[in-house]
Amino acid sequence: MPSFLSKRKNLVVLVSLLLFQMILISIQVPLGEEDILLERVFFAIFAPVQHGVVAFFRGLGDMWDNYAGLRETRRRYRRISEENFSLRHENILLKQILKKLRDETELKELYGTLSDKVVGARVIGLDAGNPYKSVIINRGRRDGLSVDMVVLDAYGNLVGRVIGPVEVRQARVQLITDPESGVSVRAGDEGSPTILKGTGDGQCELEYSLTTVDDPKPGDTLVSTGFDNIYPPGFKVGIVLTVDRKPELFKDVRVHPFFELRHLDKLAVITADPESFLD
Amino acid sequence: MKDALRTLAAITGAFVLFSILSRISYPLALAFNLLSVVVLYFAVLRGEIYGAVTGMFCGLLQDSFSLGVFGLMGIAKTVSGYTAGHVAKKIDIVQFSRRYAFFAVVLALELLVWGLLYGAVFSQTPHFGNGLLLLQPLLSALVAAGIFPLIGWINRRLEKRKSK
Repeated sequence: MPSFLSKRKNLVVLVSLLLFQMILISIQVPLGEEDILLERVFFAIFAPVQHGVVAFFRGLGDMWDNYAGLRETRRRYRRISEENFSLRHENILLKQILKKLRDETELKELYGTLSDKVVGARVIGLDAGNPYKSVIINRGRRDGLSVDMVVLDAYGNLVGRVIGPVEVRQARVQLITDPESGVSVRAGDEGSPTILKGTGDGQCELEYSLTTVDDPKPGDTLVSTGFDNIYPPGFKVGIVLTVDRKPELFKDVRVHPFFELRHLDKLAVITADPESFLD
Repeated sequence: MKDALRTLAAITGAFVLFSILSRISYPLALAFNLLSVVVLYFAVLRGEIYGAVTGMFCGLLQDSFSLGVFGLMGIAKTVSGYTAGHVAKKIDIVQFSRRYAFFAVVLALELLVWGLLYGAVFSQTPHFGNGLLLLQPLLSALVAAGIFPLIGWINRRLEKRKSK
């Protein structure tokens, strides 16, 4: 090693470490949304730790609840609420189908397989950088999850989509409040389609909402249109809070999503390709 | 090897605490960056190279659990780990107040580096969590400064037990 380098050995190590990470950053550009191997390794090793910790504390909580009594009642309540949870999502999907299909026999064929298309999941972790960008859930490849699957909250409102890394028993969900997300939405059935993206602070805004168009108005409910080819049409997304008309081409529209991050616990992942049963 | 295992255990412990805090209350998890505390502790104890490597590991771990570009927090923590290890050799940080001030400055530097990189990559300001993120250096430095006397006290207790 040249003498000037050996004198500054520490600095050389620092520069090498920084250079290594800059290369890591630069190789993400051609990969696009694909995760790099090292990120997957970190996620695969530490996500089960997070899963275990949350499961342990949930277990403790459950023990306390049972200790407090009404064990049988609680068991029954759980079963019923789980059934209710599945039924609610089946109902939402059925409503979407009913809008599209008129033929009764076709409907019966589809109904038989609907209950297999929803997987219940629970949030085990929030994003370490910004909680409104993503959450980690306790379902993964083993449960049939893969990238771009649609995620709903317990009431059938749109929460986001599964993105990588998807591990055996854990996966990451990009929330619609993430500034990098985009959902094609419209107000009701007749509104003009626009793009909804997150603001990074728990709310969303509409992009390309023309000032010359009347809708949406404050209080309007926004639903997905399906034009983005990711989120199927008809799911409730959020409510319009404010509309600021500027002397510009597009107006500022602030939207509050229907889900609340702090209450986000149970989720439903639609494991089938939405186009296969909604089109 | 023993050092590496200790560091890994400390990182896992910090990550477990982060997971618990984020489920209890996310503002708490945002206010205290426990992985940075681990970086500062080992940087001061073992020097700049160890600090930089621990910083890189902790930063990449944090990056893998946040949506965005993998490596941004890695760079920020590598810089803070190196700086903490390098400067700690040259100044006196035995006193709690001095140690606290030093750690707060290093963590502010870490946040600044991350903020600048984030701004450069995404062309937008990061989410400050209603200003809570700006308090992170002050609060995390408090934990980092307090961990030295705590570990010293635990070690003394253990030695006493051994001698008995």
